[in-house]
Amino acid sequence: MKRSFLFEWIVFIAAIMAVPFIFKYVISYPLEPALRAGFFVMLAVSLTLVVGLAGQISLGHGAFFGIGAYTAAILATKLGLPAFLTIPLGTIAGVITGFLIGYPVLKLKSYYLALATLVVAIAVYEFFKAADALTGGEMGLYNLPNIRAGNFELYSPFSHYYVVWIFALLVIFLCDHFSKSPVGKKLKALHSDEEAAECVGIDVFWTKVKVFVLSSTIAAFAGALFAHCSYGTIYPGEFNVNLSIKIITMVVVGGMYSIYGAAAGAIVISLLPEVIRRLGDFFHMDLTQITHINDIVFGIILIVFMIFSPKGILGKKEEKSASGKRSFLPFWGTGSS
Amino acid sequence: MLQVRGVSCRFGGLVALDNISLEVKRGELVGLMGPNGAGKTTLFNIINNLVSPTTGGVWFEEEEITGLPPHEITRRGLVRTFQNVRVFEHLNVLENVEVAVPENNKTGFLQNIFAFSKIRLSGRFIKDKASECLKMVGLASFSLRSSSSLTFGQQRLLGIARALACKPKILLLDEPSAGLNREETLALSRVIEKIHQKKIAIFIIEHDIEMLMSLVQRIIVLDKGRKIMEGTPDEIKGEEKVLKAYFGRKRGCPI
Repeated sequence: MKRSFLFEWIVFIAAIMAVPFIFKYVISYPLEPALRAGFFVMLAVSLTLVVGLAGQISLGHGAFFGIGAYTAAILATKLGLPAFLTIPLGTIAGVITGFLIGYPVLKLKSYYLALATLVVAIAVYEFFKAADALTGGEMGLYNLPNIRAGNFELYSPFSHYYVVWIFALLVIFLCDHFSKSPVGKKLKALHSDEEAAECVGIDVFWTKVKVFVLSSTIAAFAGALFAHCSYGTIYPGEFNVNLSIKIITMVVVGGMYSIYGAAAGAIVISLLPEVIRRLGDFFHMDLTQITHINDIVFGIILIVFMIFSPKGILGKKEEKSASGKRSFLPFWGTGSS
Repeated sequence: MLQVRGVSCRFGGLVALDNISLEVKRGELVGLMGPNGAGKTTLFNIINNLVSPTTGGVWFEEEEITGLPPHEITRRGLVRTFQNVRVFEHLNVLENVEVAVPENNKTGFLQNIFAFSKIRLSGRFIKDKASECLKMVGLASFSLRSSSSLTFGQQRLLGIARALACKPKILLLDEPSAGLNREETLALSRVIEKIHQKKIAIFIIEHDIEMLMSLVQRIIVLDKGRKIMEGTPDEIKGEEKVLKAYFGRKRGCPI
């Protein structure tokens, strides 16, 4: 039982580590999409804690990514703090805002909750655009320093890739452990039936708030890291509502009930624009056409998966794995046996 | 141990409960009867504060619990089940019971992410407690099954196992035998007796007076939100008021 889990993880880690070399020497492809995928994995996995595990709708997850990024960037440009300080501080911004936003918002249910989180995403984005003096307005912030460790400075996509993916793998592993822990089960219980969960002694509201804060913290961490791995600039357009919708699409496509599913969804969806672009080039389309096709494809994917396959692409495997078995695709699909 | 004092419950113009006062003493087995719509489940909802009373209050172990959040009331030892069970469908049978074990609430959030060995230890402890409860209701062999794959009667027992995991001092059972056949009802009665032997007080809503006859020491009867009678099963059985409430004016109907 444990051995196959270990084996699968080793294969996965090896594959992730090998990617930059494959991209460079075998297929000669820019590494940026693979780097972005690492950020998206952290975002999708953290969102699935709230959406898949706890069953709460959050359409504003991108906001925390932005909050982490801007906090780190502002501290770096205005106070000259180095990356190893701005990143923890950006993460802490995620803790605080996660609580400030989560506490009121989680008193709401279903449609109202969805709307409230969407409003948060929009509000935060507008704030980034508007607060010129602080956030550099529409143009954003630039001259963001690279991550420094002693004499080493991480400036190439290659080095960024490894830093980001080491953390992404860590996030996957820890969130998976979390989802199988006693608290993870409490979350699944309240997902199933909030009132009944309350009646077996689970403090439903606080548990929801705590998982929301956990997920916003991870997203903010990813954002703070992003600020230092993004060619030295960030601008509001990267943190608009589309980002939040993209993340939710990843969660839905990959499998709402599975941490690994979310990671798979993140990889697939973040690489999708690349595939579309190559196809666009192949058919000699121009950039605006390709962008529109991007949007259409995303919308369709989200709708189709929501209607026909809410358990996502890894959902089918869920049906086959019996509860208690730990494998690389360990869904908590205990709903079937 | 459990006292309901002067509880009324009004939903707009509808009076669901009208000045109800009753008591369940430590270790007692008390039945609650009444036709549908009498307010029995509403009374349970008020005791456990899923619904707030319009007037009156609830006392448990000499302390007022009116207005406390339901999870807090459960943690104090007052545990209720639901008529339609409400199993956690995202969890298997064993996990359904595990989440109810009180120790579950003591591991800190962060520890659940990082502390691997501590979680494994507490996980084992919780699993053992949960298995005990499943054994007590006879569902031990179904531990790893999905909770929705159980039959209705088995889900009922799961609901009771889950309630037991909460370490109750008093157990409020809401129509546990509804929808069960004769065999299942007998099995259920045996489980209830076992629980009672553990000095856990039981307050049980039931229609099946045969079942109640053999189990309870005292029965309270509600009708249209009012308490119309209280007594031993024998006293209740032939009482005209009770017959009238259930069957209308006809006399001489065997229950």
